[in-house]
Amino acid sequence: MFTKKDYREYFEQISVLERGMIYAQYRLKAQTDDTRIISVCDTIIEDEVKHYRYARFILESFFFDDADERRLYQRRFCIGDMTMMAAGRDRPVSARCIDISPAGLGFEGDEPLYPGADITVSMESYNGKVSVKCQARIVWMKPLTLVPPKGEKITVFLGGMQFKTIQDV
Amino acid sequence: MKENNAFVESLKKCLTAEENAIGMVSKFLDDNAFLADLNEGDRKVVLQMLRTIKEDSRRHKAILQEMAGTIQEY
Repeated sequence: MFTKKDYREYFEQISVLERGMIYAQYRLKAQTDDTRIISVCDTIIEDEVKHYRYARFILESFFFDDADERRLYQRRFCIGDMTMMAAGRDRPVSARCIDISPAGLGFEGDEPLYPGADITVSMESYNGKVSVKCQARIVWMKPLTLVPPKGEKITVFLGGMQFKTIQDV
Repeated sequence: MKENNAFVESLKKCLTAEENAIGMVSKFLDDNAFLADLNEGDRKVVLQMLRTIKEDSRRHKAILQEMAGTIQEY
C-alpha cells in the first residue's frame, strides 16, 4: 500500500529528474553553435518543462496539504544557475534556482547550507529574463535521494531562502 | 562544434537522465495498488501524464542517441 508520503517522495523525485534534464539540455545547448542541435535542444527543453509542470501539478493537486505550501507570495517557475556565498565560507556554493517570488526563491544543489545561514545570492535565469543579486537567509534545507532503476544514487539538497529586501522579479 | 569532447560528455549525461526518467516513471505504472486511493478520474489524469512523460522521454532518448551517432562519425 502506498502512503501519501510515498507518493510525495516519488513525485518529488520525478520533479528533480525533470529539472535535471532541463539543466542538462541548457548545458548541451551552450556547448554547440550548430543551429539544428540548438533547435532540437529547445524542443526537448519545452517537453521537460511540461513534464516538470505535470509532476508539480500532481504533487500540488493530490499530495500536498494546504499548509505545506502556504506563502505570502506565490512563487513562479524560474530555472537558472546561482551561487551562494555564506558568511565564514571561503568559497561560493553552486546551486540551481527552481522557483522565485519577490520575497525569496527555491533552489537545489549538490551540497547543503544550513537554515539560518546569511548569504549573498547571485542568480541568472537560463532565459536571461530574471537576475538577482542580494542578501538572503536560508530558511529550510532538506536532502532528497533518488535511486533510479538503472542509474547511480543521486542526492540533491532542496532549499528555500528569504531575501533580506523585496526583489523586483 | 565548440568543444567536441565536452559536448559528447554533456550528451551522455542527457541520455543517462532520460534513461533514469524512463525507469522512474515506469516503476509503478503497471502496479494496481499505485494511485488506487485516488478516484477513477484523477487516477486516469495522473497515469496519462506519467505515460506522456515516458513516451516523450523515449523519443528524446532516440533523438539523443541519433545525435550521438552523428557526432561519433565526425
